[in-house]
Amino acid sequence: MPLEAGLFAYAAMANLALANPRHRKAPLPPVTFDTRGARAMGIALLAISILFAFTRFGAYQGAVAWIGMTSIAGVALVLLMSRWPRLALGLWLPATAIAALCLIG
Amino acid sequence: MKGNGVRQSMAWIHGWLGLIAGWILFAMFLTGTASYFRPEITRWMQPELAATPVSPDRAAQSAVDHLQAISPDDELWSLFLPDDRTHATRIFSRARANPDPDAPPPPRRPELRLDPATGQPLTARETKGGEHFYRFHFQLQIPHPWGRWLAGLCAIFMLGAIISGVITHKRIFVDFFMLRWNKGQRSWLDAHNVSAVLALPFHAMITYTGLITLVLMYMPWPITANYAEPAAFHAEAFGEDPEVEPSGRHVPLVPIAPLVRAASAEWQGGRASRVFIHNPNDATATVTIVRHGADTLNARSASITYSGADGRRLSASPAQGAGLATAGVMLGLHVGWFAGPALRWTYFLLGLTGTTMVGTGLLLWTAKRRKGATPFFGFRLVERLNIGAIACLPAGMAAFLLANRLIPANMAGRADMEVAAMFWTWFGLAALSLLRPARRAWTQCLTIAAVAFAAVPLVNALTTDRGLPESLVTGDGLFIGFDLAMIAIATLLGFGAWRASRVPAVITRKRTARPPVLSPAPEMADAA
Amino acid sequence: MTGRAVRTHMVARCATALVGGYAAAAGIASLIARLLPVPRVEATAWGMILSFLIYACFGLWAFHQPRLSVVAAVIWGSAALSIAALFLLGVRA
Repeated sequence: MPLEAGLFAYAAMANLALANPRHRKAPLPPVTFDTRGARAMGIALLAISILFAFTRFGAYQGAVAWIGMTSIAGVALVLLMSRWPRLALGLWLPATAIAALCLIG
Repeated sequence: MKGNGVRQSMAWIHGWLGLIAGWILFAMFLTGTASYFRPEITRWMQPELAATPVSPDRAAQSAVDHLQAISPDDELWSLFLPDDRTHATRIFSRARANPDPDAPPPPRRPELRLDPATGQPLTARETKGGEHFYRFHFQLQIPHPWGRWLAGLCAIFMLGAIISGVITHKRIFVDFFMLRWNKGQRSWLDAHNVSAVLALPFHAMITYTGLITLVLMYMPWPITANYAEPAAFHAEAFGEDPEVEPSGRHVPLVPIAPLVRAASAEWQGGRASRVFIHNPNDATATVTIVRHGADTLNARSASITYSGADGRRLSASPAQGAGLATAGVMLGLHVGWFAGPALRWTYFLLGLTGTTMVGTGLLLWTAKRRKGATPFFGFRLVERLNIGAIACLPAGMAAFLLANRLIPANMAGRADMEVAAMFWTWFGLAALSLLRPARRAWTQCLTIAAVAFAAVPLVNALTTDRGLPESLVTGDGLFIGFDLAMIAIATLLGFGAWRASRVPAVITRKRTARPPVLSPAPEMADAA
Repeated sequence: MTGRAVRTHMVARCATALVGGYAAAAGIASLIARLLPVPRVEATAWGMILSFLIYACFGLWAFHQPRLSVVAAVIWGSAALSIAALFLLGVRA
């Protein structure tokens, strides 16, 4: 599946939101790092999503794919967060898991 | 503009640029977004055609065989070969002009669509297909060249609005994830910010590259600074040879399939997408084969020219330097021919985000001024135009698709009737909506649009044998995807209608719950 | 200023931004194309690519600078100077 980059980007941005006190409100999702951990996780996942965008789509399309999918993942996250913040932020773990499974499978 | 800071002046100009160009930009964004599925829409609109994948060399040969039979003495044959997204060979041919200089130029022939396997004309309903949305996107159904100029003017307004919007919006990263519902003006500002900021790279790219697609028309002056003859620039940049006068000596055209295979081999397996044959069956005949855009980001594809008299390789398009390659990549980024299914859907969603940005910007303008005691004329005008663009255009687009199924397949002039159905529905609905109070008009127009889109899969199932159940059984991905997309769009529009019907109640409740905030929050002043 | 004078100024400002900005962008982009020390086909491409950015910047600046006289002088002046320079230079050999 060519969507790993987008799933990783979603997980990354959910973590970056969790690192921001404005969006870090109780009740938190079941698996949540502290603020600094979430920021580190967010940056790490963002790096992973870049990596897989490029390995999947090649050098030129990779940049297009990463920027585009990250934007769409951000829009999806914000839309979900506006209604179900805990679910939206908690989805970072399933998103990462599905992306990782796609890579293995 | 009144104000001293750069942020104030940029906020002022941002508002005016968006307001003046907003409605046309909304239509350009929406139809342009649909155009990412141009070949798919065309295939959906000719349901009687079945897909038979044919290799480019065979399609080229069958097309040339057909042209040899019907008009062997033409000046130019342009063949657009099928690929995995299009299943017809499209042909534009140009007859040789009468040598008498006083004779009128030969009339433009209509596009010819052939079955790639047999080379026989396709027998399918006459339709503009996805080409209609594509053309409207930058020509706006206005006579040439004015539609393109108007689209270009709106695009440069959009570029100005993007730059001024970025300068205005100081808290770009703070508000990144903030979207709050049921807060009136604040919600529209949130939605405008989120859709603009999250997809900002796309918006900036698509606007700038959109201008680049027609740069030769909008900004030809750098060419005149360097070239006495514009044709010399075209030859140097794109390898387009100036047209050669025919010798008048008849030499039959060489078989075309081996040339297509030779070009493909030279590109290490890259596909051929277009073939241009000048002066066929003459000693000066040339065959130019252009590479398919799906292989590279650069849409100014490489080409190779062969002699049509003996099949010799004559020349190839020049290697592009950094500037030309940049322009070619910009063009490629705009049209997205390189995008496979995943990237194409990404492009589609990004286009919808851009449409949302323009639409929420227009709605923000009215939301901000709604509190005034008496709605002034400008306010009512903007509100009505918002309804006409945002709620009525989608209804028109659905009408175009419905007309394709409802107008009898063999009726004469049906392609133009489909187009007329779109504009009559769009503008007719907008005119009718004037009879209703604005809030009712929003709800009712959005409901009509939702119903129209929901009707597309139903009408398709009733009028063809490719309805959703059959498509699911046969695994017809295109028709399944199309039906599901129609249902999704109908749901979205229905949700919009539902929200439009209940918004004021929520605001009233909020107003009674706590005193209204009289001074606008600083963030609101930002995007003023 | 009276309402009428304000309107006249605004019309002049819009015309300067839209028409003058285009002329200035066309002139400067062509000058870039003419003078850039790379093959002329490349220089032409860069000029065309940059033209819209120049246009947008002129257009926005026209509404930022409060003094209309400065706006008009800079934009129409850039247009006149760059186009005059192009005529003096002539087409690239």
